[in-house]
Amino acid sequence: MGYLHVAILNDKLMKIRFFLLVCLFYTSNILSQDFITRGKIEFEVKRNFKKLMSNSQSDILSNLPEFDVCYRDLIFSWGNSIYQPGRSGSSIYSNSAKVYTDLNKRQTVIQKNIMGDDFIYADSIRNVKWKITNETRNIIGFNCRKAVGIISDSVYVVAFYAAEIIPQGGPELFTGLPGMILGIAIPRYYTTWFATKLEVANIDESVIVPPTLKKIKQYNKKELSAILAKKFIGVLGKDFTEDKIAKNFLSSFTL
Amino acid sequence: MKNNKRIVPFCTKLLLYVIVLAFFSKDLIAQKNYLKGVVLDTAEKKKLSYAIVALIDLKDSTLYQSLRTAADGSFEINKVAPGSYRLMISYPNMADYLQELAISDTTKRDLGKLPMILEAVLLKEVVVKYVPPVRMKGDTLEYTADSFIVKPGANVAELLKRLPGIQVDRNGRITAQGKEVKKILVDGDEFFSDDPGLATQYLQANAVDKVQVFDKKSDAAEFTGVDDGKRTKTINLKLKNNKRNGYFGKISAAGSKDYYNHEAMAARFDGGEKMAVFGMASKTGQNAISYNELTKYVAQDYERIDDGSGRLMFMSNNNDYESENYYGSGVPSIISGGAHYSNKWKKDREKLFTNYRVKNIDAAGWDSSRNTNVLPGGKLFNSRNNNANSSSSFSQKASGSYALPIDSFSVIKISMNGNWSNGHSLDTGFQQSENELGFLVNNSQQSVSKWNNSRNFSANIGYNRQFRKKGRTLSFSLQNDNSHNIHNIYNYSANTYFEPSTGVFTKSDTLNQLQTQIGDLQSVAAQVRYSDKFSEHFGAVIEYSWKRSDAGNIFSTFNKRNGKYEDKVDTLSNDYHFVSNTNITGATFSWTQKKIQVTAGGKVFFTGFQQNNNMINQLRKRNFTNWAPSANISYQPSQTKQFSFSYQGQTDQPGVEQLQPLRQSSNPLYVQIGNADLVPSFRHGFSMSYYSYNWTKGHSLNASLSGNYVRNAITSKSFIDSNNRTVSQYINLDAMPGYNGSVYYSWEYKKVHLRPSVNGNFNRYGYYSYLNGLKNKNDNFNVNITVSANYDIKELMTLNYSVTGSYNIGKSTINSTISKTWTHIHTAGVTYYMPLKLELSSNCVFNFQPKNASFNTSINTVQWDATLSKKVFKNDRGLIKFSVNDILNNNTGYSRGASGGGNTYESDRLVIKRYCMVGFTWNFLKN
Repeated sequence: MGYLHVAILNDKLMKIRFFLLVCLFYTSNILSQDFITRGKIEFEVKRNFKKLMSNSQSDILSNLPEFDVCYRDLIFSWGNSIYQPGRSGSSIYSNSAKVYTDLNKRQTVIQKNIMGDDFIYADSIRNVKWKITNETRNIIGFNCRKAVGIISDSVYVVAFYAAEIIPQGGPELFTGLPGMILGIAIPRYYTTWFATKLEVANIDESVIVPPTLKKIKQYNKKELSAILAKKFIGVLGKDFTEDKIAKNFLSSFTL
Repeated sequence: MKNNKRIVPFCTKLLLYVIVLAFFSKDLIAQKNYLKGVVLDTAEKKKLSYAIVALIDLKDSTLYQSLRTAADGSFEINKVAPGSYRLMISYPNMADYLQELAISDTTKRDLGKLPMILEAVLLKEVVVKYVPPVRMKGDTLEYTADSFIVKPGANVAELLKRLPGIQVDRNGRITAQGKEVKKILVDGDEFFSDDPGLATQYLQANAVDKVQVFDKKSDAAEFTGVDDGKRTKTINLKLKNNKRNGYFGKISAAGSKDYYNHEAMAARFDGGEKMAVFGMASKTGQNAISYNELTKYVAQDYERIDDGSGRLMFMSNNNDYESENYYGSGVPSIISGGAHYSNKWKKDREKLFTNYRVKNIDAAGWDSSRNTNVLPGGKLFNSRNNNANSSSSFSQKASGSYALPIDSFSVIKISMNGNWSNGHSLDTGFQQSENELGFLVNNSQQSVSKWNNSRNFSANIGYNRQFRKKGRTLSFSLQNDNSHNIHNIYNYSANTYFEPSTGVFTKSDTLNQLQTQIGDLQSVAAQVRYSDKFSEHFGAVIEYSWKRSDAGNIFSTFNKRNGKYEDKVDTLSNDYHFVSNTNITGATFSWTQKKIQVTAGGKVFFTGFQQNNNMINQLRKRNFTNWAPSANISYQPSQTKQFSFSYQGQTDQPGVEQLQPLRQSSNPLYVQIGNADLVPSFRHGFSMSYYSYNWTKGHSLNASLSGNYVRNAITSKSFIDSNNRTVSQYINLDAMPGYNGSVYYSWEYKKVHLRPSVNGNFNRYGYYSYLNGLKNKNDNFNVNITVSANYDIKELMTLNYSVTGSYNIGKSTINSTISKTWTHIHTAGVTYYMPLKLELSSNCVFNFQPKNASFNTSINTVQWDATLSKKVFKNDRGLIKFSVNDILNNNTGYSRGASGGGNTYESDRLVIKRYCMVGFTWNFLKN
């Protein structure tokens, strides 16, 4: 499949990546087209709380700001990336979730707090069927093309990807477009992820490793679903099967 | 596959074949389909690495797989699930390559070289193929803006320069098909209606989809469908759909030690809503001229009911004191600002427009001139005049209109215009005249200080109704004009006269006067107009209008006495009240076929005119009838060819001042007297024009010929005495016919990007006059030819060169001297696009005035300007500019000319010479 080719391609590219990087920094005007293969992207994650929670009767709502804003960093180098907390925004929640993605092996390792406990689990990359459109939008200077996909059977996702960034990654569990995803909007959840800046120099790539936590074992998705089903049967009721847990807790975003 | 070789030792050849075949086919069926190719950049013949190769499953149009091309531009996709796919190859700034493919388990397909085309190039090619870069739609010439390459960040003026058939001269004046463009619309609507040039200056070229050039018919002709032959050369800028929303603007600052040019502008377009503000402060010498040109654009958004009495009450059309007009003397400092708001609702039928402009101009300078004036009988005067001047003016203008649809057939439109201005100017000078013997005959020292204040207001309410029957319309309008003007002129002159035959002092006089003028004008007018179609081809418009104008004019002259201007001079003072009542009836008939359109009609003006001299309580009444016939024929054999002919006739009544001078001159060297015996004159004018365009070849031809003849033209009868004092009186005298013609032809060598054009003009004009009792025939003929060419060397350089040769012949019956002058001006410009987004442009004007019978020196000047600029920021939004004006310090402000009979003039004036300027411009844009 395609990733094998990406891997072969990568080996060839490795030889010239240094040259490319030099070009990026010093001669961006001379090369006709620059491609980016590694760097750090900051995403601004914006949730419209008021709309998101408009069903709840809580009057906490009236005291909340309309938008909950937090920042996430996506540090990527070729096929590997880590998506982790960035600078603090206005969000009232603290969130230490991380997503490690290996595009070549089509694997992700996710660290996530589920109902108060931290878990680490591995999963395969989510397959989203993307429809690529002809619309474009400029995000932090990149002309990004719009694609529309569906997750969880019926939730529409609008994504914008930059062809100039080669890794086919993105924030959260979103991947699989022909370039780096710099913007995501999920109207159903009143949530957007949009890149606010890209850095290519002085990136600490040593953080691009699967997340680990002391005394916490890495499961795979199936194992963890079973554990969670057992653990929360009292809380969630019998309707919450392993499948539902996998879908609701383990395949959604890290927010 | 790899196993095959191991099998060889164990098998016979036959078996081998069978096995190999078996393996092969099994292999193929299992997985071994592939798709490969190499992606290339067609223009650069370069292999494109990292291009995205994506397979889109046509079943549900989702992305099936995507990968990047290798360093050598190659790609290979294996193990594709059988199905129908669309191969999409994309690369930044390149147009997508799309190909549909059916892939089965056995597909082995090498697509070979896959060419990618730059989006910009593709656009051009697609446009050439499907939407021609230039085409004729009806009588509109339409250019597709993207077919003409301009640099990023270029404004519309720069785009217009690239369009064949359109020229933008150094002063910003736009001519299309040889005619001056008077109106510029944005999406069919006025944008800064009193100064549409702002649209070309501030709108970005890449926001424009189409540039449409047409002869705009009058509003009435558009509404009734019956052509009245009135045309305004108009450019409409049709914006791209995605540029109709968003904001844009520009901030620019440039300066040097003495000169500066700062501008700021911001606009927001939101569908039909447009708002914009701008401000500028400038002192560069160059801007002043273009600025002045721009104010010539027509502002009115309704048709003014003309009663033909404009010259009867000299107040109404007197622009001499309109302080906002700057006459090019000195170096002006201009501060100007404006705001525009417009909006449209109800499918664009409900419209609101408002504009506001404010201007302040301060200028100071000097000029000097030398004239030779030849009289019958071998007499002549050489005069010299040195003058220093300063002026300042402040003016504000506001205009607005609101159109309200009442139902689907009728619209009410209310329009209002107002302006307020104050101005002051001071001229001080010295002039002297010598006669042919070399004796001084007079000299005079003069100082004129003018103050003026004016307020004008006009409004119109129009009701337009259409009917179910096509071509039937009814319209009413009601309008009024109101103006109030005050002028105070302080005149000082000390004149000395000498005996012409000996040069001995004879006398001197001193004049120290204040002249005040208070003028008021009110007018009301109403009009009703009905049009109908009698058959498919035949239609008519009839109209009736009435106008009453009421003007008061108090003119007083005071001599200075005891330090105060209080000694009123009755002979130089008057107080008049004018009333004119005009009934106008008119009819126009039209006959329209597919290719031919003929209209003919006329108007009759019945005017009752009253003139009351309030000082002596004398009432004079006059009744007269004016005629204005007109006819038009236009023939359009094909979409790209048009021939038209028009005739217009008009009675001109002599003006009140021509019958009896009301504002008597206080200049003792020039006295104007009236003539009560003047009769109306009648003006005949005709014009013919031919236009053709061949867009496949890029040829454009525009030719026109026009002429005029005035019967009983009002001209002057002058006596110049031996002290060079002039007494002039108006008389009736048939005029000489005048003709002028022009041919404009431009073509294109597309392969070498060369666009030459030739523009030839001739002009013959002349007049009869009486000078010291002798009838003088003054006859002038001028021919000029301009050849210009634009040459683009790829994206690297554009070159342009133009030469204008001008030849003038002047004859006069006063003496046999025939003046022949020949001048030629060469303009060479180059723009060189260098790496690092640097751009060097340079322009050089060589002006040659060879010596001739009138002037025995040749005057050659070279004016060389250069600008170096660098684009900065993302999308070239910023521009750093360094410019040098007049590098050779050669600008002189010298001009000279000769007319028949040996009359010559030479003049110098203050101009700005060499200076350097550094500036920065930032364009912002968001859609």
